[in-house]
Amino acid sequence: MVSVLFASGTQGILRLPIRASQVINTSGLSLEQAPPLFVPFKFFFSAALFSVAIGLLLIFNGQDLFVSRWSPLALALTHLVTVGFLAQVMTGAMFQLLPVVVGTPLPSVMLVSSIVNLSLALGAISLSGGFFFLNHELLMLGAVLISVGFSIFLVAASLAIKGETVPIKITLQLGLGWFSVIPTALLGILLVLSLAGKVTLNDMQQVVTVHLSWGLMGWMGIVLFSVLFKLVPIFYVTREIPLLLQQIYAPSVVILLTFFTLSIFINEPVFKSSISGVVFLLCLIAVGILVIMIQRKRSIIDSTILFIGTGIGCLLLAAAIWVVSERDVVIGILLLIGVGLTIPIGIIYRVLPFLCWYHLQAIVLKRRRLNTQLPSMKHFIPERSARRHYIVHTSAIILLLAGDIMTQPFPILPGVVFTGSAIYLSSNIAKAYIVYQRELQVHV
Amino acid sequence: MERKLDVRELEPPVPLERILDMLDTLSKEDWLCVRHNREPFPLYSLLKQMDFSWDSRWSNGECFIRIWHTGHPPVTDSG
Repeated sequence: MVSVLFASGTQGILRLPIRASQVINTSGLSLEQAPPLFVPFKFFFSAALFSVAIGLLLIFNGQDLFVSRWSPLALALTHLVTVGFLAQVMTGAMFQLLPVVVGTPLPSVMLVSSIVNLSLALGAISLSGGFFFLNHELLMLGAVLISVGFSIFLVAASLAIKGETVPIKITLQLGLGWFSVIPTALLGILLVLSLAGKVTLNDMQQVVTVHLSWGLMGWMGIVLFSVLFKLVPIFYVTREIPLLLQQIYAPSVVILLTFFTLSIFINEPVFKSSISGVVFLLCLIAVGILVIMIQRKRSIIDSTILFIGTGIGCLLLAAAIWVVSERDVVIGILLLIGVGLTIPIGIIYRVLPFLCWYHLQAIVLKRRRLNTQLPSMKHFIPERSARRHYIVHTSAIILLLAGDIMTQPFPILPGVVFTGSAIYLSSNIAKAYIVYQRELQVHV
Repeated sequence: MERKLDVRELEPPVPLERILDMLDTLSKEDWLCVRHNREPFPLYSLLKQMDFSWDSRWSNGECFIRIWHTGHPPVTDSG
């Protein structure tokens, strides 16, 4: 028997005899540092509104989507998904997650989150409008606003981390994921300047490919999967992704993407082929997450598992198509809508009800209402509603993909179904917050 | 006296609900020992508000959390 130190809550450190244990420190890791529920909610709801905008654009111009990945519509939609939807969800999630991981809230969280939320929203509208109407001023304004939004978030996150003892693994993963925003944004600004005729690029197509690789595989790939590494074992009671894979994944993706970036300047096949390594790593991680989810002990498959599983399936399908053909639009639909929308929706449906329940519980306990019966998590976003949304959402993806393979008898149908899915998402998020506020009135 | 609770197989927020339910009926002389598969960080800020104290340790890949009324620590062999 050996004597070990217990990490203690409020009583100081106790010495107790136990066998083969490990000292842990719980100080500085607490949800009480998390911001008010309104902070992540406003980002999630903004993202949902952007998905409605994507649907409306598809209804009125959807037939142009399949012309080329360079069509004004395709470029506008790409940035509505990435900056309008994904950036809102991922920054909103970080405002909630970072204080829990680091133990200190982001500085001036209400003000900073509002500025970031607004800058990204206006930036996404300007940039997408600039692509759609081929307007250089709007493109420049969008690039500036998005850069301001991301910069303020990154500075605030860095200030929160500075001087704190942080868990290395998750901080490194998230840090590298958010680092990938920098080359994405810099290359994006370069492309906007090139479109405005201010700079000349020798190989614009390669710069675009590197820009979207940093965005989709670096930023989206690393941040989304790092969140899943933490979230899946906790919320679905699965085993962990192998530690080695977790540790090498994010640094390897960033190193390989750096090599790929060099292909802009040096025309060597070895640099260009490094992107294959990134795709392989993403698929490896995706399969790993799928395997631990399949192996979990509980056999109930709820809507959140369906969303996350479908998102991972879309990623694997996109990679398979990328290997055998060059169907850019299909790959784009699978990555942006199939992965970029589907996985975050699954995460929102799993995490938002928990946050509503937890914040309610914390407030009730703070008011010493110890015997209060709170509603269950399913009360905030009912499973039936989430499952219906899943059916509409996957139908929209299938209809969009079908548009590339065959001539649609009803060209507006994919857009109509997608808009229906987006309205479902917006209404489910709004209802969760309304139920939370109502329960707050009842119990406090 | 030690009361035990095993929440390793339960999905959030059920572990938190079960722990809070048991704390509702925990007398000042007793303490609760929770067996968990991870560190339940969200629980700790709730415990502070409820005037409970806790400690935690990892053993063989499992987390053991002891919770007691503040001022009434568990009675152990080592004192």
